[in-house]
Amino acid sequence: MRFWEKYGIYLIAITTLIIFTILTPNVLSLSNIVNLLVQTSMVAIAAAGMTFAITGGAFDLSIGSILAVTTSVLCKNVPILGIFGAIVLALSVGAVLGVMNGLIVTKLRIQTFVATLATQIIYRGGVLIYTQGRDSDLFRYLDIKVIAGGRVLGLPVPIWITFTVFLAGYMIYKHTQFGMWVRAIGSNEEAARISGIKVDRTIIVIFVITAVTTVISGTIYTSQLLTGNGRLGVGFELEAITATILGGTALAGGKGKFWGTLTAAIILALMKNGMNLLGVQDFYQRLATGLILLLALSMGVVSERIQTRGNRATRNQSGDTNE
Amino acid sequence: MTKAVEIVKITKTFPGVKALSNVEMSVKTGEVHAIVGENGAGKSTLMKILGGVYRPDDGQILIHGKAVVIKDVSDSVECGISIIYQELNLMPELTVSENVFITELPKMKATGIVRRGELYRKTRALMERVNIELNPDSLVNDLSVSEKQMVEILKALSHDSSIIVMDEPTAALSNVEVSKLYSIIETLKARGKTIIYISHRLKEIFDIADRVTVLRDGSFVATKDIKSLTQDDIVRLMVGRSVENFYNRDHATFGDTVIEIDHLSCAPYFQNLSFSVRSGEVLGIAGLMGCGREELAKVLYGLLNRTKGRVLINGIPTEVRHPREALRAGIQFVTEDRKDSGIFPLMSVKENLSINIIKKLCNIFSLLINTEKENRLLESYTKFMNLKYASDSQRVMFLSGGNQQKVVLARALAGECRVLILLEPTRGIDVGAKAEIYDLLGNLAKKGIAVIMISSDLPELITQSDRVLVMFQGQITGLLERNEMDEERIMQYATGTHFGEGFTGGAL
Repeated sequence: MRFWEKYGIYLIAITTLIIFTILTPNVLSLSNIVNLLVQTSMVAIAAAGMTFAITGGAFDLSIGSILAVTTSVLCKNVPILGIFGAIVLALSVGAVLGVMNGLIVTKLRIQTFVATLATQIIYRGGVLIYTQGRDSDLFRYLDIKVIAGGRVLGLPVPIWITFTVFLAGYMIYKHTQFGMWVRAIGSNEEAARISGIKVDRTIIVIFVITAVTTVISGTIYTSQLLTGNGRLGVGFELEAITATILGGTALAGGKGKFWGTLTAAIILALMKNGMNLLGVQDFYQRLATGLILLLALSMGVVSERIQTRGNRATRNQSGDTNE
Repeated sequence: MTKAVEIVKITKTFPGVKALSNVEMSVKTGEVHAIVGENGAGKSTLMKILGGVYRPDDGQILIHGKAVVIKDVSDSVECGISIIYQELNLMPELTVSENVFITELPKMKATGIVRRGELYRKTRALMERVNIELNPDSLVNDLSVSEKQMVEILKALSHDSSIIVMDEPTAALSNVEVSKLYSIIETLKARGKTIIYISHRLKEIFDIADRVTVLRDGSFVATKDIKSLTQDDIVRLMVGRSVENFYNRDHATFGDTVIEIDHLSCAPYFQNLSFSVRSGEVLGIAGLMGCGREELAKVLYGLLNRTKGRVLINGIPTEVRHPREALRAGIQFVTEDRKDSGIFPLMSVKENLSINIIKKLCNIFSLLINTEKENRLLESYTKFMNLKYASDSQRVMFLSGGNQQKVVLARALAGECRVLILLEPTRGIDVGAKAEIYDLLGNLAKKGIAVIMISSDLPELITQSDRVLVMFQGQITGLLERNEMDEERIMQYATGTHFGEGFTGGAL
């Protein structure tokens, strides 16, 4: 059980890879692997933020809308502010939306799931009003393509960004006071409060993190597609949550798995990529993704199996008898 | 002597309830000051005000002679107050050291990265000071209840506070661990700390307190030197009347063997247990945390599966692999974990009572619940158990601990009950309710039920049991008849010291 929880996700990754390699050897070509990782980056970066949220016992369902906000803000403002200025603006808008999520959750005392369900709709409405429902594009500002298409030391920029985000995320999660506070709150919010942890502030920061990571994803996305509109990113939050849960982060909170999230994001991209190479229709891809998630859940790779009271008690007590 | 804490005319009202009214008391610097009172007397509310969890409506708090306002937890810490709450307030997914120093993590200035090495050393140093032995890096989730309690104590000591409040710190501790706690308290006292100690166990108060304050129904009753009091005095002050025959019950005559356990094993918890319980008999089971007694209860009730052996009910070998089968065989179980696995907090008193036998309460032809039958059931148990609640649709979560426990018991009795297994039947409930539960136990035995009572409360075991079975490391080490029971002997068997080996303690 412990073994599965710890390494199961990597076994699934390797198995998936082997299966696709047998079916279509192209999967393992260097250019395809690089391509695959670039495809992974979008969901993976937002999923890194989501890992923080779920570890802290929070959900952020609003990130799909924040993705649409990002693409629209970038496409409308790059011509005015330049690339750098527009990205700073998008990050600021994202941070403000994150703070709003956080304030609604902590001050109005609404559960994160429903609070962000509401802001998902509100932000979506806001961005549609902002764009008047029209697409905007950056076809005349191709410099921005450097974000998705540029290479540093031979590797595409999105891969570097993903790697940096996960490394930073992991360090914060594991080795800083903030990271410990997030785990503490997810583990037992009441205890955290009584221990003197600034619970509300930590939760607000969590939502800023999910929003800002989404803005980073959205920036890569915009630089790939060069278009922005208010209807993009529907269901994006579910992809990020899927990667997080498949990676082994406990929905109950307290236990986050950063490298699991990254691996899961790669598996999801790999399945899409492999099936594309095999010419499998999108419909079947979804079916397969759902089945993989179910498989991982049932094998206990993910800690969401419902434990009956009795089992849990025995597991807890096995510690004493070892003595 | 100066005064560490003075509470002046503190009042606190919750919607519909006056939790504290005009409470006045003072605690001297360097003393161990006990606070006692029945559940709902206001002890915990008072402590939560000191801890900054609640704010008083009126009144004043003086710490070391200075008036202070405690708005939140950090104010309380700043005043030099640390509180060990009754419910364990730990973060299970964090390590011991992270839990202890969560708000005072040592970190590098520039990067904010936590210095693991120093955190480990700080925790070790703190542990050495109070002589607690734990691995700072183990996850709290993997610790036993008593070890968690020790972490809670460490957490309170980490601030180096001058005033330490302990709210029922021994609820989850075995006797060996309680004496460990005593020595920690002695150490703290020797270093000039002031201890406020809340407990239901009067014996403990006589063991360690210098003075005692009694609260009743949110009001101050008295503060007295412990030396000037007897247990009966305190009980009288607490309940406002004397509780007769507090610790005594009539012992019934026994009938035939109801349940026989034959070479029962459940690896790795216990091996080769054999004993039997007759109708009308109360068999107490003693043992330290981790000795396998809880697992034994779980196997009998079908929550865990045995690996070897047999269980016979009325002489017939009975297979119990699931609670459903246990209920069918007339085995009822009352858990120690009332809040988490005993009551359905959001459901009404009535629903909590009838849920196990709801099928029997339905009309035969329709599938609807016969409310009249249900009401009659509630009525009879309300009378039988002296249940107190506002209305029959009141949610069980709003009842006092004692009344909740009675509801859980009533549920067990409402079904067919030949064997009643009780795990810590009076944990966390007050003296008045305790006496009533003991009365009930006597009545049940008289009715011919075979009772198996697992408890860490030795006086309870000794006064309520007809025989006491003692377990140590998964085996039966002793079976004591009424005339052989005393605390010392039980502890010898429970710690394995009757073998003459140097065994050092329980789960610690």
